[in-house]
Amino acid sequence: MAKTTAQIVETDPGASLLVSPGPHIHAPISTQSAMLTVIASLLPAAGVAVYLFGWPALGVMVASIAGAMITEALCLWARKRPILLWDGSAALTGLLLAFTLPPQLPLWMAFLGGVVGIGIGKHAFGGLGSNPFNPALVGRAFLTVSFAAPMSTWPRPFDGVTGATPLVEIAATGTYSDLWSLVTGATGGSLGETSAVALVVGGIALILKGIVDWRIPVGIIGTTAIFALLAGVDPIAHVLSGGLLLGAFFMATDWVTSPITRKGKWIFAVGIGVLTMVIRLWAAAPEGVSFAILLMNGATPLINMMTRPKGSGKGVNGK
Amino acid sequence: MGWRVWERRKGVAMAHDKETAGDPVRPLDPPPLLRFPVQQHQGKPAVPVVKRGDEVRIGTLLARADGPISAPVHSSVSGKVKAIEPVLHPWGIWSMAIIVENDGEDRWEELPPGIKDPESVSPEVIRQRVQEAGIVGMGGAMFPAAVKLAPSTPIDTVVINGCECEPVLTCDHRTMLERTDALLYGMRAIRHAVGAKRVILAIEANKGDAIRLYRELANVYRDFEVRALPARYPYGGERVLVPAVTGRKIPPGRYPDSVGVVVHNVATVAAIADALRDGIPLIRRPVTVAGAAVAKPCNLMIPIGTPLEDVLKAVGLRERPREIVMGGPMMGITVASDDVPVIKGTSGVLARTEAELHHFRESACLRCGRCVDACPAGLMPTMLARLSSRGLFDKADELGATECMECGLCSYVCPADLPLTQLIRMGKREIIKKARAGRGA
Repeated sequence: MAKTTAQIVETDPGASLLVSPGPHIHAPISTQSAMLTVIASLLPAAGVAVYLFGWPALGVMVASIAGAMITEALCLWARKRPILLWDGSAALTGLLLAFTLPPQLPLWMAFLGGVVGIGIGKHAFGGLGSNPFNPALVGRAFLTVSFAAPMSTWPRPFDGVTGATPLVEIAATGTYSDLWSLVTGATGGSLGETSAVALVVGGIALILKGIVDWRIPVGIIGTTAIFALLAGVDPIAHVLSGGLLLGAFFMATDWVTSPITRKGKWIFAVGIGVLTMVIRLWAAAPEGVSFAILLMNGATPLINMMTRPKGSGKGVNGK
Repeated sequence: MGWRVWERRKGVAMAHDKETAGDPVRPLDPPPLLRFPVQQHQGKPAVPVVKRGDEVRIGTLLARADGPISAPVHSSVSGKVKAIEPVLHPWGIWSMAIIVENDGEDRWEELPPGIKDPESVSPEVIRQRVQEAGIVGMGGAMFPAAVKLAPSTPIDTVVINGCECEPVLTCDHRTMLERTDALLYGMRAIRHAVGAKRVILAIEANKGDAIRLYRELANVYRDFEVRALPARYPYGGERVLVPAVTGRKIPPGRYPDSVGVVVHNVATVAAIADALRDGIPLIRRPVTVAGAAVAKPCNLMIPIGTPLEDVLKAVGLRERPREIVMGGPMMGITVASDDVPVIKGTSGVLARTEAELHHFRESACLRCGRCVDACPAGLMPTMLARLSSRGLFDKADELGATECMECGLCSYVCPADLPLTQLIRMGKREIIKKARAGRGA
């Protein structure tokens, strides 16, 4: 953007008063404070993950964040941009990516996911603010297609014995026998997605802080539940299982890759809910949240254009 | 300062920081030298009618109005005209001004007789007296008040603006509490002048004492209503205020009169009462003086023409200001020097320190949509700012850039610290310039 308008002009050296256009005050928010708040809101779920899955889970988080932050620094350096790691955006991408990974994934794979997410998902498109797809989900998509077996090996909490996730049972029977485990998180699944209570607490905190627009999580969860009801499967099991809550509160609400208008946010959220259920019920994969979000990320520019507020729609020099 | 932002209805709730709300308006003694710019209103500059060496008194006409959209200027002190020369104006321009040396004797000009009951005279008399008193919109817009009393379209509702939605400022609030008689009189006069059926006094909910006071008065007099509005910025802006109070939306590019409404600020109403009831022209106004550089923030009745230097000297400075804002922190303008005088539209003087300033450190737009949610005009600020900064003014025009009221909220809420309002304002100027050129051709 042009640098000229906000420039501060020094006049009257005697008084040395600054002259600048208004407004002269600012809300207590910055990109950095927002990113750090989101990271803080993920910490309850991160704590639950370490409690359930032990140190390997912490290792995956550290590796993924390291991959993301090192790549961010290298890309900014190569693009001759100021290396602003403390804005927290790369660390957040790394942490979110780790949340979508199996807790015992080899650390180098988690690291590589961070590298791809930031390098290809973000900087290849122009860096912060310019990426069309959620970088964490780009990293996860890369790992899913590259390392199919380790990316679908799910250890049970506490003992680490691998087995099927609740999604497999839900896909087969339409419901789940132990809903309470979905609430607490004491079940197999991706590292940060299992505990509904930790995710909801963090998500509500973000809504109250004004960082997350409630329309997106409410839209996704509501659509998923209604779709499940209409399809004759258990809506509660579908909402609480898999990556739905993580996606609804933390992935789909990414500022950069979600629509900017309120109407657009509703369309986006409903789209994610519908696509998630279509994938879960009728596609080969048991889980579809991350692909649903990526697909709707792709539709976001179009949604923005369709829902663009135009004022009165005719300018003073108008046609 | 703990600013908090959350969305509900129009605009944004922000910290009010109205620490002078309990501080009664005290008169400020006029300084030795005053500057009266001939441009203290929108429209054509006034024409000086005095010359160097002339004796003037309090209320003496210094410059006459030039045409219908103009306003005369009166002296706020007695003394001698020292010079007529250009001075630095709050708007950042050089404006011709009458410089008056105060003799300290406070002699008054002979004033026109007072009107006891505004409804006993014709609307034409009211208009003429308001015009002759040099009254302009004192909320900051400085549009000649008499023009709004002579509507070209039928007016059924008068909205009296006591919102004072700008943070920090409290002079309108104090005016409502302290000048009850003047407001009751002024509201009656305005209603009579425009022939309206209803008068609605709109007050933001954060001024509970004023709301209670006028609700009681409205119960007694039954000739006006009180409407409490959410304490959110910018409910005091006409384009938010009028729909909120009357349910009528002002079409883009038009004014409230197009929907049968006229809006006057409470300080203007009090000035109208002074002019009619006591014959006193607009020679002083209430001003909130605040900012961290000021030793004790307060409300002062300041003689028009008083240089800011004298205002700040009188209230005492804790440290040297880094920036002086005239008006409120959202829509006020910074002045280049403390030589600049208080004019008719000066609602606040904020002497601010470096620690209070906000420097916009533009970073990448994250498309969070906070500006879209905040925009009271229903526009897409981030898009308009981007188009403006790239010089794509036609596109910005199509997307409604000229409907921007420059309230400043988009810049205020932007986490990427983009100067959105500033960029849109620039684009708006270009669009309007082009439209004018187009009409001229």
